[in-house]
Amino acid sequence: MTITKTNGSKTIENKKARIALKILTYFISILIVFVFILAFLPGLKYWSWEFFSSFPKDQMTGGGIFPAILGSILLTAVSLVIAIPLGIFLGIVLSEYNLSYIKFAVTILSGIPSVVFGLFGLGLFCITMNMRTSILAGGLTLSLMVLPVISSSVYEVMRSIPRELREAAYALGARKSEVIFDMLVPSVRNSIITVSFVSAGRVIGETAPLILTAAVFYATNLPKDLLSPVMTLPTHIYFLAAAYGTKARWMAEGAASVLILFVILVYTIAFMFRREKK
Amino acid sequence: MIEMADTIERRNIKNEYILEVRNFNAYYGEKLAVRDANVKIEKNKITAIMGPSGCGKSTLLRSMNRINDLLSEFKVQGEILFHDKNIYDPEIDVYVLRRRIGMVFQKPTPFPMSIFENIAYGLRLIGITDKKELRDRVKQALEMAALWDEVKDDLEKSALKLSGGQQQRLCIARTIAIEPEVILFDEPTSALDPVATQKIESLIEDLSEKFTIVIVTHNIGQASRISDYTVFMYRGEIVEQGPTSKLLTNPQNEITQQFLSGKIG
Amino acid sequence: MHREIKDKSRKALLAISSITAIAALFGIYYYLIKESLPAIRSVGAELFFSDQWYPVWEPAEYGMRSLIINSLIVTVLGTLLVVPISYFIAIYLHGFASKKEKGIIRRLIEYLSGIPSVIIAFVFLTYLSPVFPNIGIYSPQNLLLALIGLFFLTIPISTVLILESLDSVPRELEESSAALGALPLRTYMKITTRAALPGVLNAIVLTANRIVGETIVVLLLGGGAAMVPAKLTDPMKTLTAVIASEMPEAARFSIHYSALFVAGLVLVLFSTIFELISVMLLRRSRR
Repeated sequence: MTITKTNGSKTIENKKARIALKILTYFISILIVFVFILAFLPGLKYWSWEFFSSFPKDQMTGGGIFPAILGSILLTAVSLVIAIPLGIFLGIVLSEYNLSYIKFAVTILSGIPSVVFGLFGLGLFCITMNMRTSILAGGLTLSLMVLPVISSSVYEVMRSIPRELREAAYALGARKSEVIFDMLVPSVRNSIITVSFVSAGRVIGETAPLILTAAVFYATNLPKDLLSPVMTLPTHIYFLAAAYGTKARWMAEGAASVLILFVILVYTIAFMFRREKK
Repeated sequence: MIEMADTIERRNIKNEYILEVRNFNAYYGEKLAVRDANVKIEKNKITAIMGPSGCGKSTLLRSMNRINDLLSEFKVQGEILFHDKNIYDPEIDVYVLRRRIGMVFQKPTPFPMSIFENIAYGLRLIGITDKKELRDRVKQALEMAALWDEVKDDLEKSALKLSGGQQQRLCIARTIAIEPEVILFDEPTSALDPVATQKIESLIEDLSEKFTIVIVTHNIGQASRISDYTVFMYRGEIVEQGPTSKLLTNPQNEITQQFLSGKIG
Repeated sequence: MHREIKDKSRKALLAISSITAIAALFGIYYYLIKESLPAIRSVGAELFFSDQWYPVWEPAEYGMRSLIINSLIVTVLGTLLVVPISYFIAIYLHGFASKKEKGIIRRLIEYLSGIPSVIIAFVFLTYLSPVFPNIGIYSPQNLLLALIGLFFLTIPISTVLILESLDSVPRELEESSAALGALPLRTYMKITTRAALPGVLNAIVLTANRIVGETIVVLLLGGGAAMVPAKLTDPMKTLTAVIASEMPEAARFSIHYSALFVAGLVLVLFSTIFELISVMLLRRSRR
């Protein structure tokens, strides 16, 4: 007697629906793959040691993107160093302390457009606090921007901790802060790492706020301290695309490939940490 | 009755077996959940499938209306005959099958709509669109499910606002509205309090006049109270089966005895 | 003693993070209002009722009505374009796709969500924009191109949010519908979607919010005209694009500078309204 695999999709109607949806999904997926390919492949041919290590030359027709790479790394580091710890603490506050006004504030904050954060950063950091166009101003701005994202994700992660673990921890007689930091947070360590990497991916790609607070089109020197302006990969691509037309396209393509590689790497690491090891 | 095109003839059988399970095996992936089951379900009687948790009783029940098809990796071997035709035959339209073999689940599952719309949903599926006919049949179904008096004043109320017992009776009304021949109950009262349970048990007994009932339960008392025939399963196999009164008072198999006396559960 | 110090310092850090969040929110509102006042005082209602946005002309005019309308047009059209498609993709992934299919496509979409908007804009600017003059359309950057870019930018959040809502509906509810003989698509569209409605509506609202706040894609792909487009192939500029493109050149503390803050204020108002709707929807789904 044969073993039949069952799948109630007998009727024509169901088959039609399934096929139509499948075509739609695959069509869009293929387009997405196309976008990835077009973003990544054309720039690969410009990769070279010179490309990664030198400054742009000859009105963007030669040289490389080193200052942009460095600027991106610095800016990302500065903003994450501030945002990740703050974001984790804020996420803990959201999940372990039932304060609706903080939840509310974070929700509103998370919807604010990135360019408005740029305006705020410009007004507060660059002008009022006299940081001018600098890594510090940009880093602070980005960290505020990504803070609600990190804290919301940490909130979700903390919320997903099974009730029994929580109850067991309290039953041992520990204080609230001890329960949280010594037992609960370590149990979701991997998820928090995931969240951190995803936020890094987000920060690396930000453009608009940096145009207003940290980035310049062309920096003659490397940044000498946190109060210097920088070039970053996304802002560089933007400036090239907006102002330079076809002559500098090669550089934008090369930079885009680098940026995509960074992002894919960061996200892949983030996905690796998704599952907690029991 | 609504004419439905399918390949199983609806025959007027008297005292015959409307459903027959023959050498039936069910797999979740590699795991064998039901082994070599053989049962005959008699028309207009209440057959109980009983056993400790994990014994495969729900799997067997859910195979009868092929609702297990929705799970990936589900495979079967053997046959389940409905009016002498194998329901796993590729020719069978499973959607029509499910209208003739209905199911009520363990947790009450009211749709997020009004009471009226819950029942109208199934009626529209079988092609009834006339407003008056819908209203009549909704009323009929609610009356048969002993729910009409409690909800008749506000059918537009959301079904989610009903109590657990009322919700379950709504699910029953929803099922009987489309006039199936068989109704499968998967532990229908285990999520309910004793009062609601009692109401549903007596409702099921009344329903057996018109429908054939198969009920899965882990509650020996329930089986003895309402069923005519009992099938006892353990670890995927049917260990013993027979008329309820005989099986419960004089079980032949040792495992059955142990279950009935509470030694295994 | 040691235990006490740890406890207190941890609580202090928790407090600091909370204060930062609240201070940031109030700070943003405060700054935007403060810097907007000069323009509001000197230009007045003309800011919102005039279509003439000529900040660098003599005499300068600061009418941002068409910018506001453009932001709204882009948001409405973009959302109408993305949401239905992502809804059906989510339905396919939720109810028809195999586990493997679902995993791979979902992973692909999640990677897409990480692509910086500047890269998406750059790709379409490079490859799609030149097509327009070739087929007789005057403006190589226009509303249509911007919508296409926005589509790929927002399809990840829309799809993932809807998919998660659909997946969170209890399986027994879908089985109940199937047990009545309903075809899968009907079950998913009538029952599952209904049960997941707050989550689906939330996805729509968050998608709209994402679009209204998007800068680079509409800037590079939308063209430079601060006019309301008469057709899809007309160029247009939004509030976000104007801020990003003109602020670096605007003289500090000039009226132009202040007018751009007004634009920012309008944006914050929009996004606050969207988020409030989202909060209300999520409260509904808790019930």
